Amino acid sequence: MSRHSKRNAFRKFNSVFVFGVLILMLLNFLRPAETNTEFQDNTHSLSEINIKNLISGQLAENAEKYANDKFTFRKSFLIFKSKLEYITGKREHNGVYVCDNNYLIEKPKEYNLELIDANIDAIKNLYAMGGFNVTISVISPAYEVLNDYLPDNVYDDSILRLSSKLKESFSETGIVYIDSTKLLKRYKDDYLYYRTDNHLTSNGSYVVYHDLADTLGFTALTGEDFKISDVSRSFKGSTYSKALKDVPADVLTVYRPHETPRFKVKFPLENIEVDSMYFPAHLEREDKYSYFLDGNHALTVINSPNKNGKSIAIFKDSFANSIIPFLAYHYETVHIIDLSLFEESVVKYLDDCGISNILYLYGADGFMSDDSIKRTAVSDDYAAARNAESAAYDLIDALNQ
Amino acid sequence: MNFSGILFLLYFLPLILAAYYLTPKHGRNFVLFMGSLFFYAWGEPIYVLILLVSCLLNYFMGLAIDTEEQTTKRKSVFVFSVIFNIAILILFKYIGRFIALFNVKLPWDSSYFSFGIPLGISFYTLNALSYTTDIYRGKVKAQKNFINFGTYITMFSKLLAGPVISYNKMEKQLTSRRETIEGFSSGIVCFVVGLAKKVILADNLFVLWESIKLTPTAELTTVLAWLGIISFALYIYFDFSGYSDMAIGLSKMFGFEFGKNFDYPYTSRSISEFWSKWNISLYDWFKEYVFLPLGGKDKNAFRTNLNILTVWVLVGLWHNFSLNFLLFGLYFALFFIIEKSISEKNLKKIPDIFRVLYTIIFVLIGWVFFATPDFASSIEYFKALLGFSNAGAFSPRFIYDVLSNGILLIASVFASLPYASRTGKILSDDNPSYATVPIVLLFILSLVYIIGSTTVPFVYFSF
Repeated sequence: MSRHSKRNAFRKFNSVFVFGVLILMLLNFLRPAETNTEFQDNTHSLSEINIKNLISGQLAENAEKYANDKFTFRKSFLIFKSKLEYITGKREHNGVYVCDNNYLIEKPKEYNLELIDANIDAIKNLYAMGGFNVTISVISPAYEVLNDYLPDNVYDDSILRLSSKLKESFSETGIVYIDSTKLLKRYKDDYLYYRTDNHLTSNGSYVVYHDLADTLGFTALTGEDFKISDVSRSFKGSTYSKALKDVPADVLTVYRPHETPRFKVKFPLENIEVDSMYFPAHLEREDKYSYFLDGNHALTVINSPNKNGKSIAIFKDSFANSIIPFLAYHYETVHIIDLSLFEESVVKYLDDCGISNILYLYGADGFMSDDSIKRTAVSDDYAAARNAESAAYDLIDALNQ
Repeated sequence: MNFSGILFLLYFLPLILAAYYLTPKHGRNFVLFMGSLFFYAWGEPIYVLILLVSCLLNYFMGLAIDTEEQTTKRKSVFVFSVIFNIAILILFKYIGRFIALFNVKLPWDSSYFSFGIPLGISFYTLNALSYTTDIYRGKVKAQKNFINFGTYITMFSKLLAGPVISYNKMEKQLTSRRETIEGFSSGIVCFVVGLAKKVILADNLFVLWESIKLTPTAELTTVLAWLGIISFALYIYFDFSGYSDMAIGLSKMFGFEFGKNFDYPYTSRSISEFWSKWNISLYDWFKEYVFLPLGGKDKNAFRTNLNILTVWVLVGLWHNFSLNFLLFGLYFALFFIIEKSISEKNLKKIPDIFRVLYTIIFVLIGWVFFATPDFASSIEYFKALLGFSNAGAFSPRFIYDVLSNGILLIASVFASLPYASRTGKILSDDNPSYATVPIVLLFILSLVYIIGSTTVPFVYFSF
């Protein structure tokens, strides 16, 4: 090639890049930032421009995330990347495994012995305060129950180890530990977990509900008592948003008794009161699972039409949200506390409401990573006084004998 | 700011290129200087002050050494400049550790600012040292124009993680470089290749390495440990050489020509050869400003070996003040000394493939010091590598990791060999247009990976 045409070839090469980048820049300026899906990290609002953000480097970080999110072809690039990685043999994207039967199953959290022990101790401490019946149910995730769907050579038994540890720790303490894993495995092919989300479906919730019945002291309603209806056929949940692998959408079903009872659902800390445990507004958005109990509130109180005088407090993470609507039929009042959001003294709340039945209802991942469970045994002034008081009563009883 | 981020690629870089080429020639260094300061301040809003102080002080010290006639005064300014540069390096690298170690309470809210290591300080102090040393030796004249000097120290393409360009190599280019069409194209190619190395290969190798690094010792089987250190070796190579390629490519776009910083090190036939092909600019700097002044290759073998040892201990500690990096230095010093004592003639008798294998295996073992966070974990890792792990030799997890990352590993191994770039050069020498489609595709693919990941910082940013 002659020198002249070589020079031209270089010119053309440079122009391709200069114009290409210019076009990308223009596209970015013209296009408004895509509203973020509810599953992504929304902590990069550029509206917080202040000295602190500037100096600590947070602003720079936010700006980078903002520029990234604003990129024109973001969604299609993400999907393309997921497909490309699948072709090259990757079966895991952002912590989610692409499994058989179109399942996207999340890797369990790290087995953090320290945290697990702390949580177990907190529960024991609450029980030791006296006056409470404590039940605990830690629900195994799809990773364990559907472990034959996982890619080869990927399974580890951390969830089974958690179950045995819990069983061993609570045996002979008066606290009842319920492990629904075996029961879930028996019905595992009956769509107990969502394909695109890590929560239990209503079918799976129904199974756990049955497993809790004996211990909690009620007779569970059976299939004939319910009318099962689909409220959404296009649910693509948290594991989909991480893996971005095209699988059929999930179906959200709801179990309603034939005579629709009237429930009162209150969020006392927010002064909101509604008359249903279900929130259809979420069905229009991405996180459809929040249809159940409106996602996570610090405190939720459900008054059911069943005026049997029974009440229960449930400490929970989001796994419990689709199970609680089943439990609510059997109590006059259900107090639901999300310990990661509730800031008052837990023990004081329980005493003020006269609650003696307590249920810890968590997903295994939540239990292994949530450090707010400790708050039920927090040594705040109220709990200390209560402990002193009950110790005093115990002493009096002992002396009187 | 990250070279491999949208903010840099689609905002900063186009803007500074536009500002540069729209400015008449005599103002271009000013654009670079200001742009580089902004670039640095963006990532280090407080530490940019240290960069400026270092710039100013070294500028004045350089002038002082140059204009001073009296030898003792010259020497004292020079010695002061050496002490100053090394002092700020040590001070700011280790003050954070010191504060953490002794639980010193800061008189301000630490979420605003806590003493991390200033980005690039290990690199720009080496640049400053080369400057004052070369003036003292009479090799160069002091740079009278502060803007030009500032451009040398702060040039954003090489500020954060090198290459280390001694002042004498850049002196002429500061004032009489020519920006050419071919240079610009070459810069683009270099930059895009570096970008691809980083976001397509290095970042994904890092994920594999991290998952193995975080494996509890009880599960770290021998095969997994080897897979881990191999992926680490490839990760650090593509991360660092990718960054260097980007730095060199960016510099070319502004008319600066720097020598390559990596030369297919994993094809080396000895450890000595390996280190002459890895981070070449750092190797050259230490040879020029530490090894040779100490006496270099002396007739006395013991003296030579002592010099080698000193240099390597300094190299190790320059990375980090820790036992692991001290051992890192000593380990490779040992190999240098041993290899020096074997004659070239004897070595040539051994087939190349064995020599390369020897090099790779012992470099991999040496990387363990670099890769593990502390001495205890490096011992655990060595145990696993050598077959003494409690976890045993084999685990099914290994198969999963190999199958999921097979293509990545094969592509990485291939990319660490010179074949692809040689073919590329032959084709594009014939007709430069052949490069357009592959480089454009590589750029787009890189964007795909950038959009789709959480940022993995450059490994050498932590030094």
